[in-house]
Amino acid sequence: MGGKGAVDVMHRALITSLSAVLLLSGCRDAGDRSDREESISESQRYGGTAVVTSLNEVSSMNHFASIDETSQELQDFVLFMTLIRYDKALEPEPYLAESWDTAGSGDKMVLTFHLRDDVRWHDGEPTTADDVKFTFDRIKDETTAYPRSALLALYDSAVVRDPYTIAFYLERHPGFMDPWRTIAPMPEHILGDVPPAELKQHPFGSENPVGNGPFRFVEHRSGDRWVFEANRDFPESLGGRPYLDRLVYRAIQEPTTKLSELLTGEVDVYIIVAPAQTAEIESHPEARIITYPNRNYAFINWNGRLPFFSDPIVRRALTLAIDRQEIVDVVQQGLGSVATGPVPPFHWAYNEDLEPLAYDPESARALLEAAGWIDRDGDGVRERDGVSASFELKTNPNPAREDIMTLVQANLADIGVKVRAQVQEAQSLGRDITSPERRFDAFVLGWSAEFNLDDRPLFACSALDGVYQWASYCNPRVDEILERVVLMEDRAQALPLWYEYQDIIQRDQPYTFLYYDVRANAVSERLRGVEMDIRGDLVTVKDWWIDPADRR
Amino acid sequence: MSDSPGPAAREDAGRSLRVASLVPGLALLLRGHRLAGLSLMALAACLVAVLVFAFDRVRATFSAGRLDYWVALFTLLGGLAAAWGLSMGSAGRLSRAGTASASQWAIAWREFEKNRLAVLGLYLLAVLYLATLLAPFLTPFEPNVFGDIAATRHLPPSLEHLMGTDRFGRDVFTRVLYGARISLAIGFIAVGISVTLGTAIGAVSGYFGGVVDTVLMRFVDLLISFPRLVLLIAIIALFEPSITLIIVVLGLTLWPSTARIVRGEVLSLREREFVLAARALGLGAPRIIFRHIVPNVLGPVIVAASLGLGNIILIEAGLSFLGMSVPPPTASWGNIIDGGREYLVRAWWVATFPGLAIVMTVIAFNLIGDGLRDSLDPRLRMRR
Amino acid sequence: MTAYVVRRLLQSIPLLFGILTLVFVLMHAAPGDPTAMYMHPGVSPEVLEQMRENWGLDQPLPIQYVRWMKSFLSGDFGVSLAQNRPVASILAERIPNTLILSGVSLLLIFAIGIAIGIIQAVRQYSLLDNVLTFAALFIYSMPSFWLGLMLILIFAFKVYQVDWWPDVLRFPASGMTSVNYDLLGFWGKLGDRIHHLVLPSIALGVSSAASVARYMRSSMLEEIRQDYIRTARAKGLPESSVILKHALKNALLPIITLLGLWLPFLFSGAVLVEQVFAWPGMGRTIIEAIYQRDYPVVMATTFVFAAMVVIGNLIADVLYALVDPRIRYE
Repeated sequence: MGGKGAVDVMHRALITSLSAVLLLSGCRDAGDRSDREESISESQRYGGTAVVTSLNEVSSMNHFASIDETSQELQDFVLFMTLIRYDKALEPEPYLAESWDTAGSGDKMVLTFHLRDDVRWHDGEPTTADDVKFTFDRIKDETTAYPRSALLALYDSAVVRDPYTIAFYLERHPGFMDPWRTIAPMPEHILGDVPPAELKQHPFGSENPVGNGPFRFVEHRSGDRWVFEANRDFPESLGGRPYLDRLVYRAIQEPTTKLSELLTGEVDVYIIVAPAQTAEIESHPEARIITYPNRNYAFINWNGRLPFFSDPIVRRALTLAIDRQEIVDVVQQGLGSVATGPVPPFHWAYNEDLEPLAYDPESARALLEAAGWIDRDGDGVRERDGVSASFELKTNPNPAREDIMTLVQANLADIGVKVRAQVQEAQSLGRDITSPERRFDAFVLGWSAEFNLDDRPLFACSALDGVYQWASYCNPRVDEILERVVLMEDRAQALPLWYEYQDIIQRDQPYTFLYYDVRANAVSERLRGVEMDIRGDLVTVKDWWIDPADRR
Repeated sequence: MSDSPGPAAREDAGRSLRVASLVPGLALLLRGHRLAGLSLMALAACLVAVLVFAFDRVRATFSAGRLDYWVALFTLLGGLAAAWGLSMGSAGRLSRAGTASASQWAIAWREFEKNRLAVLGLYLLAVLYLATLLAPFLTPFEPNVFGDIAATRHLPPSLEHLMGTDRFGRDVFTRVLYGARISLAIGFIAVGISVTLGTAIGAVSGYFGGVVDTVLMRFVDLLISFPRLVLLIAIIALFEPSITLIIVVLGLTLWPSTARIVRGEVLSLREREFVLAARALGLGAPRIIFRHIVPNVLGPVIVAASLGLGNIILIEAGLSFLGMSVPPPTASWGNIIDGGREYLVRAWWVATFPGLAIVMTVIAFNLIGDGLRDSLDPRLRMRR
Repeated sequence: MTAYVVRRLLQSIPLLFGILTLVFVLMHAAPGDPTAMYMHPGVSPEVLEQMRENWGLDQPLPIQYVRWMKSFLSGDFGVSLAQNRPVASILAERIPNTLILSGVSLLLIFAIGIAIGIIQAVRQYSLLDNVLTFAALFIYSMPSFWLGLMLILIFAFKVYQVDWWPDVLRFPASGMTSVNYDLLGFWGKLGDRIHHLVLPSIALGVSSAASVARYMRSSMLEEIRQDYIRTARAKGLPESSVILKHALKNALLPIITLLGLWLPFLFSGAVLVEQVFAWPGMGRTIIEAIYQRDYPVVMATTFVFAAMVVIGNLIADVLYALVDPRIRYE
């Protein structure tokens, strides 16, 4: 019970500190704003241009080509329509599909979507079941090399019943609706004749994409901006056209530049604020910070093939010796919470009662001694059988991860483990860690967890020679659990297994899980109606509006 | 010449100068060399001050058992010895004024001395070098060690932390001092490599001419018409970044401009009498090139080297900006700036002071380079 | 003259060819390939393999090289693997942006540099010379990205908190145009563009201007000491005309050759400055392309860079010939 209490306190502390941030920003001229908000009628909200900036260039509006977060959000929420959306509780709700039903027995099932009949591509053609089937077929076609084909791995085939009805044949599995939250059907009448192998590089994606969503494409200037404008024909039953006239996306790399643009009014939404800048933004009345726990977590991967890291006790000692709360405080400025395992808090199977290992260098030393790692020659570094407890910790050029390395280095030096920090260009690091020989000792990296979690590539014995099994971790029980949960539709039945999985991972520490990320975005005060959560930064973009007095 | 002192008076003045030279710089000052005198005096005063005020840390050398403490100690003692030595020496030289023979280098030095900015550059550099060597005595902090981060991070500049503290609460002044070692080492070694390579290739190319020249110069053209940063990034991506790699890559990519300069000079030297004579004597090409030609092109090479040093320090900073230089936690000026970028608005001092350090150093190298150019090139000497 | 230009262009072909080959080898020797953009547990290794096949990366290197060279010679630069767009259309959008930025910087460099250089030479070793030397050096010695950050911090950010500061001198921190650019009139558009150019072109150009000033100073010093200047003075010409009419023309000669040398330098600087100011130019493209191993873009952009340098050198030589009657091209 005590343990549970402690976790609760920690959680509450996190949540209250976050809501304090929100309150502060909301309160500053909350009275003022909300009064005005009341007085502005629905019809006055239409108009204006909002500018969104983030670090990354958008790779394409072509759903077959892109995997990066920004491109996907622009596709799913701005230019195109997905079949379903998630509501705040992450339950499916109708979008392009008006309704759906399931049938079938045993481990086979049929999923039938009934599409809206009032959605048109921006060139006037209606969006029909054929577009959905076309998209499905291309995804299933190996030559397309659709990056996330794994989403539909258990889907078998699709049949168009009538122009607005499509049925999918699939194996029964949990989260079978999840792919349709992110897959945006592409227009068959434009891309139908393109050979699958050339789909990715088709100019459709970057020069003249035609969507069917709330915004239509206006222009794309390479390296400069993407411009979208309101789609006036967006179905009334879905709320009609968006409030904004235009939405502009710009990629800006330099944090100081982004900050300056935000506070001088050139930019309205600054996505992924550098943690160091949140305090500064808070102190300006022109902007507010919106935070939410997102799907990313940071970790250190230990190379389990090396003698030092192959021992779970040693890995546990290393985790105990790293002050992860300090990492959250210093690197993330508090934007995050100490992690327990690969199931982040947003996930329904997250075990709140599992307490993260506390920072405890004393026990860490004891564990290392017990495992035979002792500093016999007095040089400050432990060794065993002539092997010294020193290793190289790598990461890619990324300020947060470089800072993590610096802190970890200092922490581990305290317990007699020597760390050489190394920053390596992303691609060359990628080659080293994915190579079958696993040419690394340890590295700091981050993952983004899926709603439909499948950790087999990370921790399953069957994936030992795979590209992502960097820990070289193998535990038959974990294998069994991971194999079973991906097929269990009943959450109540699966939950104990998920809990057990988290327990085992916590015990074995294949990774040292550092923290679950909290996303901070800055929003200009003139932009109203902005909500952001785990579903995405742009999830409410259709409802964003600007006070007529503040429009540029 | 009317008021020139008699032999006796001269002897007398010599003695008093020697007495005055017990205080470094005083002799020079008395003879009217204000700048030189004052700076020698200041230098000695600083060293003595370090010895007095940081005596505890100086004494710690014997217990710390660390190389940089010993280096600092030897610098300190050597610096003091040199200050007195210089003082004595200059006193001697002053009393024999006018009798020194005028070699080519001596003329150049005298010319250089007249250029106050160049001398200033030399002083800047001397101070900088002393400071980096004496770093353990100048600051009580360690560059990479931090304590309670929450309490010490981002403290603004104060008497305790001259340049404030960074995001880990490390003293920026200390890091700038220690970072200077890395930045300067990168600069000097890389320039050494590039100058050697450039001189050799340029001399060979210019001396032999013909096909050799064409091939080598096409290669030089190729490297020069390539945006340097792009080349560097591509090469660094191939290997794991380390200080050695950065040095080697910079050294190997910066030689073409030196090669071009040297080749141009050699082309004109090749037909000169002394080279023709050497050839007539039957000397081998390597001997002619390295014994007779290279010494004559050293002037422009030295100038190019001193300017190149500044350049390399700037390039290293640029690479750090792209996250491709010296890995943490080792400080180089470039990566201290890089670490302060996100905090620029709230903690301006982190990125500003190392930036100023770069500016001052590059200025020093350029002033020296300019001075050298003016003094080594007879055509630019002041007419009087 | 035409014959000379043609010959020079022909001579530069092997040079460009060499550069392209060098880059090809370098890029393919570098670890990783474009599929690394898709590294994610949700992306199966088979998919990555298929991508390689679609992009022709599964072929042996010599074949890839010959293929690329073939399509390159037929004018097809290929399609970017990261931006999913024909390379030709990326270049068409980005080259002008870089040319605008470096062109304006070049003007700044030479105008300011030459003016300062002349003043310094005429007043050699004076206080003014020393002050200008030092000031020029101070600016020259700044890392361009650092100067850029400082400029943004002061002229794009801090000045917004100062009420009396004139609006004209509040500069935008990034991009080439404002968001409402399309809605502006002709003069508004022009003003908007100039406004956006100020900070980046200063960050990119000022340091080089200081350097030009130094060359100008020594070149001018050399000229002033020539006999013909003495003659001109002896004839009783006013000093200003001696300097500006007679000495300047000859002193400019070596400076003009610098023009060619300056281009690669500017492009290198542009890489950093474009990133700081989010300027949609070639510098950012090439850096991103290198990181992503976007081979077609890297090859095409290096080619463009190198070609611009070659042309820059050629222009410098032609100018040299026009100014200096002693040089004849057979």
